[in-house]
Amino acid sequence: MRHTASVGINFSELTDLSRLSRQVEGMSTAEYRERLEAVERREKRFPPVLVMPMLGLSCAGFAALFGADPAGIAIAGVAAAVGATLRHFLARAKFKPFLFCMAAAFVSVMLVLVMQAWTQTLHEVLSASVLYLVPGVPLLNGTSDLLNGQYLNGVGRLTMSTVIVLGSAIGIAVALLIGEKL
Amino acid sequence: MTDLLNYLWAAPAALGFAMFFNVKRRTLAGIALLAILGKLASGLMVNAGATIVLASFVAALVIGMLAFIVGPLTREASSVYAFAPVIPLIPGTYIFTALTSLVSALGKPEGSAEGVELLDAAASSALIAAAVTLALAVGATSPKLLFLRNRSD
Repeated sequence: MRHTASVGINFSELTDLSRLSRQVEGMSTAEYRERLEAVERREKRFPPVLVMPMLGLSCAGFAALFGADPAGIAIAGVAAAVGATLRHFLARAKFKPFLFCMAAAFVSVMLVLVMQAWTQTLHEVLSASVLYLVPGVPLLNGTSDLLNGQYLNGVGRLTMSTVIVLGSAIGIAVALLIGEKL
Repeated sequence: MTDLLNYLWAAPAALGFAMFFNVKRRTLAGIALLAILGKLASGLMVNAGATIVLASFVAALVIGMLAFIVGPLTREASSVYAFAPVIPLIPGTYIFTALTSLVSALGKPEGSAEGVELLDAAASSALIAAAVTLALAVGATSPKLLFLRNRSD
């Protein structure tokens, strides 16, 4: 058994590897290794100072799609951006997903509750403010795995999603209990 | 008209996730477009009386099929275009209602009418949320199921 490092989701690298996989025929092992390392060196990410506000904007978009009022859209955006930033730092400090999702969900919901006087659509705003925690990629990939007969992978990914959702749910519940919204 | 404009919010909703997933910058416009298309498809179907499960499945299928075409054309992995645009279709309010009703029910006395009502709300929301999520996953990945039958990945 070998452990693989947790690498996070990286679709750019996925594309690079997918392109490489189509050119690999007739390539020597040395050249292949060189190309693989080139993909790894190319690692370029959007800066977190851009991604975290964008995740906030995402959740603002969710609030709008759910029918929240303009103030509610703004509140969801701010709460999500702060929560996403917290998650980023806790993940970087090597906390486990269960824990950092719980903390992030708690903070986002608390922030919404603090600002609730400004919105008439509290339920929609609350729902939207924690959606940056939805483990979309493992959910979709895990289901795809199951349907394609990759049961071990599929169960692993779906279990991972479940743990993340469970952690988030606990964070949400504790915040709502404190805010007396349950 | 304002209803239609509201669907444009699907673009930022998908873009934040796309950047979080670290897609390549030049794919962002396509992802935004697919997200709006998908949300528009599901929204119009729900307005026309379709169930949210069917509407979500069709929307995800449209996104998945287009991604399967656009991906190879732009030499990208198809999932780059298939995943982020599906995210705005995730049934957030249902998931949230299911979770909060369930937790509320925990605090009610066993067998009380209030507790049963909450469990009822939790079950129906959770059922819809699960069905929609499954419909999204099957819809978005169905091109692979249909056209890549011999590939093991």
